[in-house]
Amino acid sequence: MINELQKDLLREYINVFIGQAASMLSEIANQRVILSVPEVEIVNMAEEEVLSHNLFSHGHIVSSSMKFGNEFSGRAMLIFPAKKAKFLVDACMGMESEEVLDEEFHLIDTDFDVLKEISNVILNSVIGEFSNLLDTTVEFSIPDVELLFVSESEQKMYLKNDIYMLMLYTSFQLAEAKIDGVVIVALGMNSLNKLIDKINEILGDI
Amino acid sequence: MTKCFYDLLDKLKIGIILLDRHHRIIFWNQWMSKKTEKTASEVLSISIEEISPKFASSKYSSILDSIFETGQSRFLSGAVHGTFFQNFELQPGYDIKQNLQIEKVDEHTLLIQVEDLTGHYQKVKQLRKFIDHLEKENDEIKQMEEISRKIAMQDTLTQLPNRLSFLNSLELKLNELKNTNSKNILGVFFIDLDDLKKINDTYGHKVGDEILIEFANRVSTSLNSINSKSFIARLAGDEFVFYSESDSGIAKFNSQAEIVLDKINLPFNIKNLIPLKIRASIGISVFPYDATTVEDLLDKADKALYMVKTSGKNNYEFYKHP
Repeated sequence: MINELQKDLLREYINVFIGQAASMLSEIANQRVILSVPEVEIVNMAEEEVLSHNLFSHGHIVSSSMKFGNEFSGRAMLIFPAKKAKFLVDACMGMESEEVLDEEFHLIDTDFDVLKEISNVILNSVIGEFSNLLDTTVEFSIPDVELLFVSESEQKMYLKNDIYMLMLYTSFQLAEAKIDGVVIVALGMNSLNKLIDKINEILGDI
Repeated sequence: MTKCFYDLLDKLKIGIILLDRHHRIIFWNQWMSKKTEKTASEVLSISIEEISPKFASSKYSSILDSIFETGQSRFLSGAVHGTFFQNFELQPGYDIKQNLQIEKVDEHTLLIQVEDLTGHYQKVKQLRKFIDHLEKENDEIKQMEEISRKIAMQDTLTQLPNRLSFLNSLELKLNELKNTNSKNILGVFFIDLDDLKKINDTYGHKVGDEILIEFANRVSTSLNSINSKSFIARLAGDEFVFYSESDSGIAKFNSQAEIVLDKINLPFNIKNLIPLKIRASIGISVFPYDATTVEDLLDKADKALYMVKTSGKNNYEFYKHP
């Protein structure tokens, strides 16, 4: 889909976007939060491509998603394991997390509010910066957050409505916990071409 | 149309605030007036920082500016940020939580939606308290059940397992030996203290009880030290019983019976009394030679005990088929 050079440039930009999200998140959590993007890939969901990473392990996940639109349009999602999401919520609320068993783990309404804010901050940074990069205005709202139970085999099914996926595998590093998540930006053909054209343009300038 | 639009905003069950570029309030709906006891005419043209001091901090005022600049909506959760506007409908002391959703309407206007979650948080808090209370009660019930279970299975005087516990354990052990086709044999030892009645009559039941406790302690300690595959219990009064597994024939049972008798024959030093001596008789039945069921093994051991009793006491005897 894109060559290594294009991928490197994209990764560099995304690292900057995510870095901004991390500093906003640090402010909410009152502690240093490091958000890193170890890998970026573009996947064509229509083809039977194998994802390089498991998006989520079998079990409950917290998925926040929002549509964004205008000249650059698509759907942005932030997904992480629900049990780990609780760590993030507790950190933001200044509470100490206790290690809980899978069957005892639960999220309550107020936890979802905090997750909504976390997703809002991260997705705003990523999509907002994409729109800056492309010199276009992108409209989007506050993400919806849901708790889902997904088996490993359902991973691609969960994403099947979207054709091109820009996968940003992220990890949240808090004081005591490392939380792996993934930011997925689902793009239509036109929007993806716009992004690739922009990357080529920058590479040409270099 | 404009009036109708603002009337509509007044009827909403959430707080609606519109701000201008300088953070001055240009609309304040009735819900906000009701909660804060500040009417729209009182707050119009006043900056949000004056009405809600939280916005005076650079953290929140820069959020407002950045929404104007970028057009990106922000959600601020009450769980993290707490109180933005005082709620006078609530008694003082409530921890007020409000979710805020802030969006850019146009180049000059910002919309703030305020959702008060204090009541909801309060309910969640109460529910958490209630759950904690239930968990605590559940723990207490579990502890009580554990105590009841122990009482049901344990002799309160000697702390040894009781009759019921012994019968259950022996049943399980026999099933295990049968199901695994084990070559091991099992000895069931029925012990009766010969002189306890005399001691009770002479020195009182308290002294008799102390001897029973000491006896239980001596026998269980010596059994544990020589064979972990044994189980001792107090059946009733001065009757004790234990079973022991052997992979080396009945010779092992002979030595065990002798050890128990030796332990019993050592004097019992009960305070303020001269050392007391007691004796015991032991009847032994062996699985699978004498019987294969709990009931029969105990019956045969009892018969063997009777033989010892009638032939001089302070000894042990294996069951002999008639």
